[in-house]
Amino acid sequence: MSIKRVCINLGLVLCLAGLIAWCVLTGKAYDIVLENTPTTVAGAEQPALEAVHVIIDKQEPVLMLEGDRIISTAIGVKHKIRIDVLDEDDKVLESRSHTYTIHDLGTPPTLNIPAVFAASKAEK
Amino acid sequence: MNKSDGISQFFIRNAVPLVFLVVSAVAIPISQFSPSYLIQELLIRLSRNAFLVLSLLIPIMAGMGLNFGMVLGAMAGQIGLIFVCDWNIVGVQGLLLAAIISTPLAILFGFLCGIVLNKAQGREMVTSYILGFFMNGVYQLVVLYGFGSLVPIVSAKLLLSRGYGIRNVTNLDGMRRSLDELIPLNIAGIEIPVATFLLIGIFCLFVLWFRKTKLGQDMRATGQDMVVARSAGIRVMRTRIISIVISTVLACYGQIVFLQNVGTMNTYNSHEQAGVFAIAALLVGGATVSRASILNVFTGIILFHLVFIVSPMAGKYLLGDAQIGEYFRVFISYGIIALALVLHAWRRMNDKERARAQFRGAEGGAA
Amino acid sequence: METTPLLRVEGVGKAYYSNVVLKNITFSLEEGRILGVVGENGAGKSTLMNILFGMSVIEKTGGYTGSIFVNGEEVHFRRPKDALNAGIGMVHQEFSLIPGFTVTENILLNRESLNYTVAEEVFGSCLRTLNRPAMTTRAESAIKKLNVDLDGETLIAELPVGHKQFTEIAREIANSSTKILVLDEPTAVLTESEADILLASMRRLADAGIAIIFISHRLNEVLTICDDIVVLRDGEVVLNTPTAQTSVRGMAAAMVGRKVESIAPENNEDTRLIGETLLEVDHLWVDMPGETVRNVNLAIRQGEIFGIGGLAGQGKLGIANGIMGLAPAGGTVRFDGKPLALNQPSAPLAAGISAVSEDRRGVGLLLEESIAWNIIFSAMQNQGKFLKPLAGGLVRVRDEAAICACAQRYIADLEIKCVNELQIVQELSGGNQQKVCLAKAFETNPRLLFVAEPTRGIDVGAKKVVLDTLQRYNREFGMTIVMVSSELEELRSICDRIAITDRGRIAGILPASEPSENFGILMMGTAHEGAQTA
Repeated sequence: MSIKRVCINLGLVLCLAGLIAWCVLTGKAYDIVLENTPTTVAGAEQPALEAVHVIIDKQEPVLMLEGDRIISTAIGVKHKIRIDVLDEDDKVLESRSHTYTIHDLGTPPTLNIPAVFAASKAEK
Repeated sequence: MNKSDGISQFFIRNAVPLVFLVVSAVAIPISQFSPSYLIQELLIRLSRNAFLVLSLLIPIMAGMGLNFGMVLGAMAGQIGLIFVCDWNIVGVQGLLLAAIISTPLAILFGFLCGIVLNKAQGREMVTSYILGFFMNGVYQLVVLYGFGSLVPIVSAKLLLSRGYGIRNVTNLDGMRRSLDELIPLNIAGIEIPVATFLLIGIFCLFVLWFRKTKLGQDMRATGQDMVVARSAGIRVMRTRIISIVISTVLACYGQIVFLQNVGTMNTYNSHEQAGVFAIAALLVGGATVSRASILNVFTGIILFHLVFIVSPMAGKYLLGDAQIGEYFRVFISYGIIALALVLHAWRRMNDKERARAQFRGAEGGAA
Repeated sequence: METTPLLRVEGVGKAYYSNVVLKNITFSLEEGRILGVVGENGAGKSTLMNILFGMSVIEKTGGYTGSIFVNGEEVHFRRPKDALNAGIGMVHQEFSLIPGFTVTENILLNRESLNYTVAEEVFGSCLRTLNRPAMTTRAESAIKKLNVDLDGETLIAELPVGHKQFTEIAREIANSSTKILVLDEPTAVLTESEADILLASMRRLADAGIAIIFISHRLNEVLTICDDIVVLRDGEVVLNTPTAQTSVRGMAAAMVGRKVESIAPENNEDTRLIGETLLEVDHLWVDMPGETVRNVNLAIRQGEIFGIGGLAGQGKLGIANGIMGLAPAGGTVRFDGKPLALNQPSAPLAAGISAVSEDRRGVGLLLEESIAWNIIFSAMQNQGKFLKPLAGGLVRVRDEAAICACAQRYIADLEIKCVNELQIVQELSGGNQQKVCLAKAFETNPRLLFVAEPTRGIDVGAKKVVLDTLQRYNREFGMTIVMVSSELEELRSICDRIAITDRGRIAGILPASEPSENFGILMMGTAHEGAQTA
């Protein structure tokens, strides 16, 4: 009887702890600095992209021109970023996706678009 | 004779809801609102307020009258929201976390409130009302001076420019309508906050179930006759405190649900009128100081808010001034509470009179 | 006699500080027997029951002496719970039922049958749900034991009084450990037929092995139902006998005692003029808490001193308060041939009826005012005495000289012990306060004066002055006096006739010269049968 009680209470406490963890992990919104500036990745120079749509998770696409720095928000720890390279008529030339966790980005979380673009694979 | 007596009894018992029904029946056509607009507004108000009003039921069951002390719960909820805002947790997760953080706070507040009310038996309502004012002062002191200095607050967006104290308006954009829109449903252009209503439904079931528990039974016994309950071995004081604690915790959740719908929080005012408007709505629904049901809650919210939705427009068309509606709201809220208290006293006197008449009648038969 | 009795009370005594209320009480009770405990108010019955039931008031005032045995084992109850655990169930005089609950809920109050729920693992057993079907069965079986017609689903508020009483008893029986049942005046609120059913139920319970202590003022019931009888007087057992060896008269004599027969009146002055009926009371009811008057008919004659006696709570105080308009009342009251409006305190005053309240400090006096002011207050307010016109009658001011003179006259007359007439009433002793109350009433020159409990809580000397004064005003000024008192001997010493109230009615009116046990019989509600058994 008392063991049962202890078990149930323990279970509940664990559930609650899990719930809190889930809330914090999936609910926390981070400000992410997105920059479309030239950078070097593994010795190779990456120029800034002319015009891209940046889509974090399922948010609205953000248009970034060469040299732009903007602050965006992302909710949760793990994110999927999609970069659509646009031509002059705003048509998607190439689309690349990249998955990262917020802790990979340093403080303040910064995401360099050309670097991401270079590191990620092309999407079909 | 008996039947007409029954009908007049019905009218007397339901006088307040009937008056509101008549007022809104008159005011709806004048306001020229479309039915779909009215329904949409009513649904919003219902989802916003139901939780707060439902939290009043349990103290009434325990005979402690209308719990003006629910303001304490609202404060706890707001403190939870401030923290969650500071940590920048958004969406339903933010609401959930705010509820989890504020629960122990609300339990503490409720416990203190319960202890004070136990010392003021028979004057619970006035005591809890004043206690609400007092705690409002404490809350303001803590939030205005303690937050950002003693209590760590990271986000500069929340703090006043001097570096401590929370700003007048806390933006809840991240959580705005996140519960309402969790399960989206749109019927004929009317948005229905399904998740909120589900939560309210679960809570109604909880109240129904609670009445059937031993604790609920003890509360009903305590509410009806404290002396008898005590002599039967029920721990009356404990039961009363528990009822206030439950009410405070639920009011805390209610305030969180309310604010997520509104989307902004007046840090220093939002809680103040939570109690008065919830109580007024409950009373409009036909509840009394000593008896209230779930049905009273929903009729009360619908009638009370219907009048408020239509009265500014009706006022504008009739008198050329929309301000009159807001006027009306405050006037009616306090008026209805005063009326309910008077009616309560009057009804008690009436019952006594009737008991006396019965007693005399029996005597007439015997003599 | 070899078997150990279920309950044995041995040499129990109790004193509230220096005031001894119980001395050396000894009796025993065996399984399946009914013990009747009778005695006047203040004889010590309730104290005895408080001890038996472990009420906290006993512990708080220093406990009791002597010992109590249940089943041969010595017990000492400190809380009612201890007594309950030992199997003593008590049905109190006032109902402890919850009006909005059903009979079943009340019978099983705080002893409900419960179902397991998961929530209790977290929050404790208080979150178990009620098992209604099991509760109904248990309640029904308890009701069946009583053999009464009681529906478990009716709300208590809708039940007649008798059924409430049955519910209370069923509650004690439903507790299966109950072996001794204490019934404190269970029939006081019942009609005769209900009382009969109750008595039959008690017999059934006794046959089923439960021992019952039955406290009652109704000697007939005690005689019919009980196996043994204990009579208490002034905290002592004066009679402890099997029922067969006593009678109503025997019990009444034991209860009232043969104290001070000699006080009986010697006022043989035939010079007194007892005139026509002055006050006629017809079907009076008064809703005074604790002193309910149900149906009182009285005729009080001009010039007499009329006494109203009876046990506490039987309505004697209610009569005066009802007529004076101090409590809601109904019926007809005619004063001097003219109908008197009820529920209006000013009406009797205007008609020439005054009252000295039993609540001296609350109603009777303005405690923080001077003696003089207290004495003339009513007369000034109601009759405009002690006022003199000023500025040609435009305003009227108090005539201080007249007030002082009047107060001094009463101080001398009633031997009020004080510094002077300007002393504050609060500083006076109880007896002197009482005299001020009397002076206040006399100053209104009433034709009829109600005096309620005039000697309560005052010393012997003051008592004599008060009684003598009343008698003197009656003789000298022909003032008709109605005196309400719980002390029978006091009434007998100055009254001409004495009415005894019982259950809010007049049980009988006897001349003061009747022997006191006749009054005792009236008080016990056994008037008719009493005569036969005698």
